[in-house]
Amino acid sequence: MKKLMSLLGTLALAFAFVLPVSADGHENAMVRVLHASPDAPAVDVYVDGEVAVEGAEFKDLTDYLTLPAGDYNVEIKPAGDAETVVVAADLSIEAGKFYTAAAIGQLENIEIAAMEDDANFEDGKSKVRVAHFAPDAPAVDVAPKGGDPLFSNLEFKAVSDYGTLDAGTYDLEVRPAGATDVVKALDGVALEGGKNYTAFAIGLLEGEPAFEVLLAADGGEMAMAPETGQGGLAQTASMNWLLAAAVVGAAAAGFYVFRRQKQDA
Amino acid sequence: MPTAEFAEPQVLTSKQVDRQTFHSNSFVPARLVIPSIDVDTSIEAVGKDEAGRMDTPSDVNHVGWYQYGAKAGATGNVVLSGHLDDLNGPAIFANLDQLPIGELVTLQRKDQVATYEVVSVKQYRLDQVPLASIFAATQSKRIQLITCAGPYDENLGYRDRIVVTAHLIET
Repeated sequence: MKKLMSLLGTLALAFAFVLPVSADGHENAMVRVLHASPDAPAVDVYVDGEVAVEGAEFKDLTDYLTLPAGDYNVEIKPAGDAETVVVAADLSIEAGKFYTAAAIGQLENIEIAAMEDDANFEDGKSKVRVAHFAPDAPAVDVAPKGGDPLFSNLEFKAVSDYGTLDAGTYDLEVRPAGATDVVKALDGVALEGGKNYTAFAIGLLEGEPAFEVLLAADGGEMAMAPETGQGGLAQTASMNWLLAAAVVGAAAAGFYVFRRQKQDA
Repeated sequence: MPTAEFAEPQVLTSKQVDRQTFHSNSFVPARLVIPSIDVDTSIEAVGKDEAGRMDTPSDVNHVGWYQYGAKAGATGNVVLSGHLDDLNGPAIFANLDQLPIGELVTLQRKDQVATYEVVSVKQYRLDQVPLASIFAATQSKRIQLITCAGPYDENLGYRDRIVVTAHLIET
């Protein structure tokens, strides 16, 4: 069972000579969770038995969480109830990639839909896809107002491929597949160049919560933390905090620390 | 000086998220003003340095705006980096760790203004900085201010980073 150190912020590794491994997105994967089940209650999300997200309500899309790449068991439980599992799934995530795990469907048929989010950005262009997570809506087309569809015949649970658009502001329509009447008008959708988006169609056409489209930017251009100091304010000069931490950590954990010894030839 | 601690991943509640994020009234920020810690300075756009770290501004009394992040007022993370110190003494973010919760942080460009309210000030070991919360997409409208903290080593640099998070309250 892997320890989710980055995710839960537990104590630093207590090994000798710990190198400061920066979480630069190349050892880790980034995962966010969407609650898209119209009649499920607020939920807690568990990853390998430990709670990662608390109190997510319908329409909540979490921040991306950092997880070391690998295989995980994801469980969704009612908020505050650790005993009941509403739905569970196994997830395999790869380093440097972004994922969305969505709880979809009415409670009686609830499942977890997992998808990879595109973080390859193009200057001046937006990549957009549509996820049909509205259980009572028919298959839909998504089109510019009065125009031909960009995405056709998407059924419930389907996630389209990304389409590439020039950056700009668009008036879009959601229509029943093959028809011209409008299920939902989306006016003034601002798509920025160098960003990718998923439009999540959620909710119910008949009843509450009402059908709507949640637009979310996908992924990100990850970086490591900036070097924002040159030591002018430092109290102690030349304190090797790395070695100090390793010694303290190793002593605390009872590990043996190997120290290089000067050999007199 | 706050002690090092590790942040929980941020969970968004319904109240914090703007559902209809279609419209964008955002701008590339030119100035950063934080009255409570006497910050009033210019912003330079920055990318990544050769080691893949968010870059810093060439002037230690300016701040850097991550050009791959969000613009001021937009949905997402607006990320700003500023120096704690230079070789001789304090720089623009020398007092960032003193910033009280609830104080205001303002981004400006000509007559456009985006005002944020500080919700957290946290210190992390360098390898524990929650990079996804800072650099990846989010439904929140917030700003992340980053500088150095903790003990300093000539070869390794500062051990920690301070991250201040503030949420948009008006544009």
